[in-house]
Amino acid sequence: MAIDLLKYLFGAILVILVQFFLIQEINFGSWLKPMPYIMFIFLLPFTYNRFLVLIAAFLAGIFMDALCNSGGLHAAACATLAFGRIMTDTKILDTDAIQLQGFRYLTPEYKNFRFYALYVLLLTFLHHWVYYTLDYFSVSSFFLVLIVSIISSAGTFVLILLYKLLANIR
Amino acid sequence: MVFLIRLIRKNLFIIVYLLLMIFSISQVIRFNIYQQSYFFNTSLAFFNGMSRLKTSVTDYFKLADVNKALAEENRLLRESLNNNNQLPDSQQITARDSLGQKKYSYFTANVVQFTTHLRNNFITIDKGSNQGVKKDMAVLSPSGIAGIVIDVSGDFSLVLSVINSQFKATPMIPAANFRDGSVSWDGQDPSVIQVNGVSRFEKILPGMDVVTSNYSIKFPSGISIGKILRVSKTGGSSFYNIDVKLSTDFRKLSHVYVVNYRQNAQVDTLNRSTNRGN
Repeated sequence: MAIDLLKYLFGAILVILVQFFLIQEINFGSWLKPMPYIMFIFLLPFTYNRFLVLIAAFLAGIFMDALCNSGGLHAAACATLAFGRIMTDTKILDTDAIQLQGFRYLTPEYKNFRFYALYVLLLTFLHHWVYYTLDYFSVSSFFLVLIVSIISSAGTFVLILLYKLLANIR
Repeated sequence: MVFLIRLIRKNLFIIVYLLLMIFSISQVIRFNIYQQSYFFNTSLAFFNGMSRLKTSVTDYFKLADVNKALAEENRLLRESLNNNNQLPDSQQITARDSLGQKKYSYFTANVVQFTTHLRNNFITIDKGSNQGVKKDMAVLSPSGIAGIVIDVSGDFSLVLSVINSQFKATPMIPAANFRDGSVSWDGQDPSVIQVNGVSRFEKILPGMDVVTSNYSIKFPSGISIGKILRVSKTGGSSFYNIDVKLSTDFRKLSHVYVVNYRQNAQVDTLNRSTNRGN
């Protein structure tokens, strides 16, 4: 358990640093701002305490905020993502059955790819929507925020899949 | 009481989530409504170290453009040297008061960290209160305006960038003899900002220069903001929609100047006695 936790901590720091040093430096255009660092929240096992997941996501958000001077944007969005994931896992998914099949967290191999894509895309959209709503902080840019978060969610999802591919090659 | 405790224990997860949200959203509101800086920002030593590590690498990729900007600035400075002009131009008159003292002095600073991808972008520079930087000082890049200092620590300061929703400046369009309105950023393209409040009866054309107004207290007058890119009218409105291409490339910011307005204390006292901001 302790070694497992260390592994996740290391992984989380790694994806955050990649986000800070690399992804944010790339100019994809003004509507596409992917944030694939949130993938570590999807990788936490179902068995972890829900408070641990929530606090870990929040701390990762605060860390990210302090690095790029964004106040509480990442913190609020990551906390919402963790909250959303816990709620989906407990209220919608049957996590006991998934764990019995040998999955510690949801992967594309469980059921089919479409199921996994829906799960990740919806939660990613939730994260991005909270992030951009707080970032723009005005009611008049509601539709702009919606468009930016939809496009960025798609970008984030593609990058998460790329990360997964890289991990599989090893 | 027992009921209350049971209720809290039952919903503890939601309560913890709401507390975290209240903390983080309060940060956002503190900035957007009261313009106060965040609790966790890059003037803290640890995060600063991370940012400096990043700029130590990314600076190399910007070297060519930075050199070009500095050379261009040197050329302009050489042109405006006293012995180059027969009569002192208006720029020089505004830079000195009647006794011939300098009105502004400048600090140079290196950019430690900056963002361009957010709605509210900041710049962190490596000069702070130990070097004499104070809150509300203007910050210029070699090619134009860059922002305003909003928070100062010992050796670092946080600068509110031009591409931030809270940034406001007064523009002047010398070719149309227009000095009014305000400059602000709509959050779309980090190289284009908007000028608001220009009456549609003015003759404004694309390609005209936009500079800082001489009514501005924070910025020296005549500092380049950019060139007008597009001018359009929306039906019914009595104002133009003007897009201005910024002369500062915020993606390649590396060196900046902090402007110290020497009579700031006097202006401050005046403003305070008449109870006005700005």
